[in-house]
Amino acid sequence: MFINIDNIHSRFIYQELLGDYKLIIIDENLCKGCHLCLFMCYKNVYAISPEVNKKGVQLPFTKFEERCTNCGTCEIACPDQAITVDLPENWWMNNEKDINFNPNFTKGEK
Amino acid sequence: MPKQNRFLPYLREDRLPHIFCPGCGNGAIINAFLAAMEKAEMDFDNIAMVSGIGCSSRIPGYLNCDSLHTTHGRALSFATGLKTANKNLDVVVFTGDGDAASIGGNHLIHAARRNINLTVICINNNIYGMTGGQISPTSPKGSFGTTAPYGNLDNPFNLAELVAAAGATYSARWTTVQIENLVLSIKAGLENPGFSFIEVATQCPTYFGRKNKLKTPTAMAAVMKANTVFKSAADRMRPKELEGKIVVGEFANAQKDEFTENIDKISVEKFGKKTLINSAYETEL
Amino acid sequence: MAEELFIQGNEACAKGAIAAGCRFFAGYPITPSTEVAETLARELPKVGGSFVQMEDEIASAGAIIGASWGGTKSMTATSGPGISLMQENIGYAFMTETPMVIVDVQRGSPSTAQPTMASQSDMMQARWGSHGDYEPIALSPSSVQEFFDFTVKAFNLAEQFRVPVFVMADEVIGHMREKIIIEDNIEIVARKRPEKIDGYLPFENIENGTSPMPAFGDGFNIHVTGLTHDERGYPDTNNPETHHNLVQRICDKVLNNKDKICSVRSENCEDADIVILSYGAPVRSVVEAVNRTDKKVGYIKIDTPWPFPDEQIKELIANASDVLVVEMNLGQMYYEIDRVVKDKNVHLMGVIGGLLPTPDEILEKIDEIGGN
Repeated sequence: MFINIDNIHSRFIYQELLGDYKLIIIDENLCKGCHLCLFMCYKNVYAISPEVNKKGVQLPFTKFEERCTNCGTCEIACPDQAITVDLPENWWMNNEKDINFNPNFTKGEK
Repeated sequence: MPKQNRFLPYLREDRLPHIFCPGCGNGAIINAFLAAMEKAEMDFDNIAMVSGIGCSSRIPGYLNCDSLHTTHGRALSFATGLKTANKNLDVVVFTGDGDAASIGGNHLIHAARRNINLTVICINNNIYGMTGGQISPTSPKGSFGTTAPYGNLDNPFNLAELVAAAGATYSARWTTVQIENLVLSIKAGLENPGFSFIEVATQCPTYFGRKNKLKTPTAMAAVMKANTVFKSAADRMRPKELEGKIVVGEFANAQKDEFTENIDKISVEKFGKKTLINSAYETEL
Repeated sequence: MAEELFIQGNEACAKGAIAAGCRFFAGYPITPSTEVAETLARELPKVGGSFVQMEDEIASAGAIIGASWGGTKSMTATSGPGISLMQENIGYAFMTETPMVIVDVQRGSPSTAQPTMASQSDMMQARWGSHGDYEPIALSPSSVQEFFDFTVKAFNLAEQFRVPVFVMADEVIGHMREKIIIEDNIEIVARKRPEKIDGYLPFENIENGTSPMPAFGDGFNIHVTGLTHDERGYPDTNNPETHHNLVQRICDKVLNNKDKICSVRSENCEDADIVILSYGAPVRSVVEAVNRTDKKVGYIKIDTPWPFPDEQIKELIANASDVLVVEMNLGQMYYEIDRVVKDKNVHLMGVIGGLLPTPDEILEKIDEIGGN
């Protein structure tokens, strides 16, 4: 995976300065509680909240946001468009990989 | 700072949340398509979507572009007409396994044979979801459905390879678990000037899962991930080892003459007349 | 300078389509309509049109609907078995209000039956072929000239009312060669594009029932679906009111404009005892029979079997005692006519087998009925 070390460090250090800032926002109205974000996240950022909301959904929440590597997978994998990751515009530019890269291998080799 | 989900601006927000069950892969495929479209730097306003009948075919109704939700299985024939009438449009077809492989199987192979510049995203959930869980032509042998209470007796279609054999210039299969590969593959399909077919194996926890002892979306996704074999590895495996596996990768990637270009070429070369677009609005032709 | 030609009916139909502005044809070979496809395959590239030979008839119907939403006037031509296969998509075209023209060169039916013989056995299929309530427009030519004229008219009506229009020819008209005259200034109706994007509703319930229609790619971002939809085009399948309004409007926009659509041609009806009603190729024999007889016999030729011109017919047969329906099936329009003229004796002369009824046979039938 493409871990951006600088990014992790800066966020970790300046966490307090950022205040209410949330890197990952989950829309309660759109989430249907499938928990695929937990499955899809490579870094286990998410956890399931023990309470149910008024729709009867156990919402996921970002328990370990500092682990996030800005890969954006959860945003694409969320079937209900409920996850927003605060990524810069065109974050995917210059991140081109081979179509057949295999995420099961750390370097993405075939 | 974008606080809004980056895919929402493309959706008809007055129709959300969509009708898909919790954990259905269709929503993720909407995102994958939109991400791929952004990556391919395509103009969303120039995209026209066509779909047939089924869960997957409801997707164009949620996307804020020109969309044609047609009869069961016939999406590709409508798309052929639309693309031929206005070849400047980028026509994308969303279809399902029952739609494309069963009732519309003939249209699928013929569209591939013509190599018409369409991008077909076939969402294969191995079951008829909208009608309540009947087996489909891609249901694995032995899987259960409401019309196969003792297990499916038929052999499934291998769609990506079928379409590649029928003459498509781009054919690939991915699952919703390999979402990054899927995005890149849809991008390649959109950029390919010819018939592009992307089969996406997806989870249907509500019907396929319930009938086959995989009740949660994550259980289905985990099984799908465990059963996935990359094509490069599968090429070195014996057929026995590949039983029950989902082979993912690209099955065709070539260049051939495109159908609408050929039609245009005849008009231009033989008669010096370009194919007319939007001619219905003119009285003097 | 008007053009005079000696051509086959199917060729005339193809020429009419091009004259009317048709620039897309999708079809599948089927006797006796194949010459329409053959002619258009040759002629369309010359005028910047596209010809596609599809894999089957239902795909052809789908392709012309797609092309119509792509902003091109489109047409297909087929015969009985093909029109049976197309019905699902024809219903879709009615539901989504897609203008298109379907030419049906009728042959002996049911099933494969008589590919090279004439009949008029698809009349009810044009009316009720697809499931559900809808009001089709069908035109029935009885000469090669009319096959040309009616094809042009079919395109104009399709654009005017946003509805699929049938041209119900038969094998006799399709394969016959006659002289036709093509005028220079043929009136054609262009499709109307909505004026502005904001507030445009593609399926709006407006006064005459037909809202303008944009093409895909014009930026209107419309959703077209065969499901019950509201005025925006969004599916709304569980609301009885939406469904009622939609289907009622689809029917009303044709029924309320019957005076603009329907046409009949008649002769000697005012003082006739017997009026012969006919449409399509048998009209030729009927005219001959009426000319030969010395009895008080008139005839009505129905140009537009659907919507059925009941008012005009009622008026024309007011003084007659007997009505004879001559058609090439075992009674399809007969029952429609019987419904309209309940107080008269309605007789059927249904001829099947593929040959036109001859004037002599019709005269015999007139003698059988009696009259002065």
